[in-house]
Amino acid sequence: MRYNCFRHLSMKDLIHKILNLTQMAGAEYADVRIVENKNESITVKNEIPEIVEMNENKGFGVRVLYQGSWGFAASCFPGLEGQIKIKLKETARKAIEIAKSSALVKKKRVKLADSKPIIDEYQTKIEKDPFKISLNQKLDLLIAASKEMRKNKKIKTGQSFFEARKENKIFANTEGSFIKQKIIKCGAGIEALAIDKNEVQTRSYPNSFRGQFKTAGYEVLESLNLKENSSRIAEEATALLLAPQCPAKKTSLILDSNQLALQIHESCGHPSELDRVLGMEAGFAGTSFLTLEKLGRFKYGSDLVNITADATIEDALGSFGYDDEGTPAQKFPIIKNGIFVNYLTSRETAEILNQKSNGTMRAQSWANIPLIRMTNINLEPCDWKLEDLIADTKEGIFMSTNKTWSIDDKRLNFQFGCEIAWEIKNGKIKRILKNPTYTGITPQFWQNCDAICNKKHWQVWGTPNCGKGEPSQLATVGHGASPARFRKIKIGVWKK
Amino acid sequence: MLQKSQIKKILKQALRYSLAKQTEILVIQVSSNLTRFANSEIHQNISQDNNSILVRTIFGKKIGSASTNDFSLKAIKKTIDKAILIAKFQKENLDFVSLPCPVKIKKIKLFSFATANCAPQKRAQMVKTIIEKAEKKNLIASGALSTNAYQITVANSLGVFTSFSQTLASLSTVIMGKNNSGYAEQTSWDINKINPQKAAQEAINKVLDDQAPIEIKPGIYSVFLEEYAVAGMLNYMAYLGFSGKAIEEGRSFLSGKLNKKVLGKNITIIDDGLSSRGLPMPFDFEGVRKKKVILIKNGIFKNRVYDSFSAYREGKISTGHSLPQPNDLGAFPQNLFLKNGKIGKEQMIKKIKKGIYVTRFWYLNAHHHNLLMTGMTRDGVFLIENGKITKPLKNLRFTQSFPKALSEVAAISLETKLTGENIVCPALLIKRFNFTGSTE
Repeated sequence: MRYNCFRHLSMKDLIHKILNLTQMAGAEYADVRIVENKNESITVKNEIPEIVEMNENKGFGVRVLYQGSWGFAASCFPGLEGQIKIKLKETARKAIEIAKSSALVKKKRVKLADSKPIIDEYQTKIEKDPFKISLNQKLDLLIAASKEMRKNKKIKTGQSFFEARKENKIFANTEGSFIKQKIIKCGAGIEALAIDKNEVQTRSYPNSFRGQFKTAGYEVLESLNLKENSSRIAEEATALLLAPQCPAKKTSLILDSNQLALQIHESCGHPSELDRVLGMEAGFAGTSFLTLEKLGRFKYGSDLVNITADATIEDALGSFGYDDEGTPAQKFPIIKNGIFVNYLTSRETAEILNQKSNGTMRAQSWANIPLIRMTNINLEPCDWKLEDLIADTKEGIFMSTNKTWSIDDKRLNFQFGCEIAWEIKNGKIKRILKNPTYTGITPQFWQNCDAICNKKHWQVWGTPNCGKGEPSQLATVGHGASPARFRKIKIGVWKK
Repeated sequence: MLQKSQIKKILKQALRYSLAKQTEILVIQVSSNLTRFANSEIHQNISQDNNSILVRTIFGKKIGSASTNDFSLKAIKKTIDKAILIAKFQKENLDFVSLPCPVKIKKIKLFSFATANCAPQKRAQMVKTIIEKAEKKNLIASGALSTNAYQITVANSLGVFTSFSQTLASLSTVIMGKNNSGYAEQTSWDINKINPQKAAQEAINKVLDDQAPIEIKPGIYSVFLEEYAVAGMLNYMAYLGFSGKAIEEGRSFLSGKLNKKVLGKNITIIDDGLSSRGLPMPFDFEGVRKKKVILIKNGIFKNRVYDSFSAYREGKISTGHSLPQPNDLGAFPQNLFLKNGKIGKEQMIKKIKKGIYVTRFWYLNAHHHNLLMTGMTRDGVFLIENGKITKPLKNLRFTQSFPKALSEVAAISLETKLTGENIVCPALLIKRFNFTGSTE
């Protein structure tokens, strides 16, 4: 990466200049991220491309540790000639100034867990660069899917979505790391909205909230067969208009993998973030029930439950080469045979546990500090075939595709709604039920997990909108899951 | 941040460069600073300077959009070229008529140099005030204090050129005891109007005796909602109820109900982007003057808000409610006011024989487009018995239709508060509110 505005200066020289500045000002540690982003977003609604947007942005962030306190300053590159060098110096000095003010209200010195300096490059493996595919080609696929949904007269809006993101990033720190990464993400999906009198119902494919996302290229859109799935999705949305209400009772609940992905996200991923556990998010997102004494001994779920964090899965949305502290992507267990065994950590928080960082610090952009974020947090598969699992369920409900989610500030009491459910009676899928919801308490819920489907049904779902921090940051994370069964779950929390 | 005159020069050149039939350029410059504290110390402390330059180009009924954060004329020209290329490849949007024409914009002063230039040391000092007050009571403080400065400029090829500078200071704090927590927030354009002592005391008051919270059986209770909780409700109503596209597409609880009763007779909701009681902005993101819009009057749905696209399509005049284009919300009310009542908050609580006091809601989400909502209580939930707050409660989950709740309001406070969501609202006493679970 070489910006025009620095044509006389290599990126490496530039970064070293910034790092030197911070060290001369007394920083005990500093890192710099220079990031260039390119984004494309398309929404087709009722065959009209309602949103076609291209965005490019670039900038840099400087993070310093001064007398054991953090300071961070970030800036876009000023476009006006002559201001660039001034801005660089100004931003580095601002980071120091901020760190000095942090030190005024300090209880303890921040210490970082040891980390080896790394010089490396990483790049997402893609088949087709999404930014080299013509707009017409993308629109043709998306309009065809929208048109197909609208053939069903009850469909008020048929939407199709495509998104592509390219991130060129350089990380360097005062310990000698210099890492270049090029990460490409793509996502696509469709949504049918059916309306009849006072009833409104939605169905999405392959997932809600704009579809499925991966670290991959344009092949994501091509592989989804959006048009081929459009009429089925439209029919299901229409069927929901007339479907009976999901009943209120306790029953056996089988969650489809796309809903289980969000269940893992909210009730396993977030509570295991060590910054939350240590109270660092108490003023906003909350804390965690997963307090330190539970490490290595807390019975989180049934013996079947194995949750793994894995940032190394090829094409999963939460995959990368190195996190934004320069720690390599890793795979490690969070819950092993039902027992909680590991937090997600940063260099700062790992040091408190006398550990090394497991590489989960990521920032939304150059303008943000890195925070502990989920990578790909997965429920490992077991042996069941889905058809056998349903056949084994005398009475229950199968829910698919998230519609709504809510969980308390310690990550215990949750309530989810899905787009669609099917009643299960005597081992067979029966009628469609609308407005399915379920609720529970995290450990009790996971302890009631008595069956998980096999690898054949397992896939990693991308969640492109995980929110955390102040100012709010969005992270792209992934969750591998296959359908699983939970016993005695309260469903149907619905009152008009 | 670039001066208005510098921006004007760049935008004039850029508009002259564009070959599109119509061109719009929106420039948002932001300088934001935020000091976060947790465990009674500052743990995150940041500063960000950024620009957004959003270009919209029009060829007939074809629209293209592109954006950058690079302020060089070269980069803006490149962005215009990209928007033109997108527009040319676009399909026609038959409902599009035109970008808006210039109108006279009211002058509003909402810029404080003290806020724009607030040093990190001053923010640290204010945070320290909160922490010291909490520690005197053996409590732990966390929260955030931000000081931001914005400059928003809109120009288009039909002659619109308007610019507005604004500052924003915002403080929130969660004070935690062994068993309970309390919350307070303050928002103003002027940092000097943020009072950390008062915010700390407000949050501390919720934790003072720190009794172990008791569990209450889920069910329907009378509820006293502080302004923070009410703002949480209204914020969701804005997205799912009042936003232009929700109404147009039949997804809103207001769709097809113009001039019909949708909420209680005592509920009046307006959007007023020019009122100094909130955080006004004289024009929207298309450069159209903001108008006061009565959305709900005495429970009846009277008006909706418009941007230029929806206004032209329906033969109306834009009310100045465009968000940056393109977006998937349509026209959007960003300055909501819920009309206050005539009674003090203490008097309202005295009216409750058995009920629940809620400071704020957390993690709200809609189970259904009709605003059947779920969420949790947080940072101060208490049992009210015979008109008095008696015991702290474990946090509760509710599953409740918001329109139904706002049809059963028994009392509205005289006092109102400007919240971080830019909503000005009173506290409410609601007769029946459906709590469906509790947490441990």
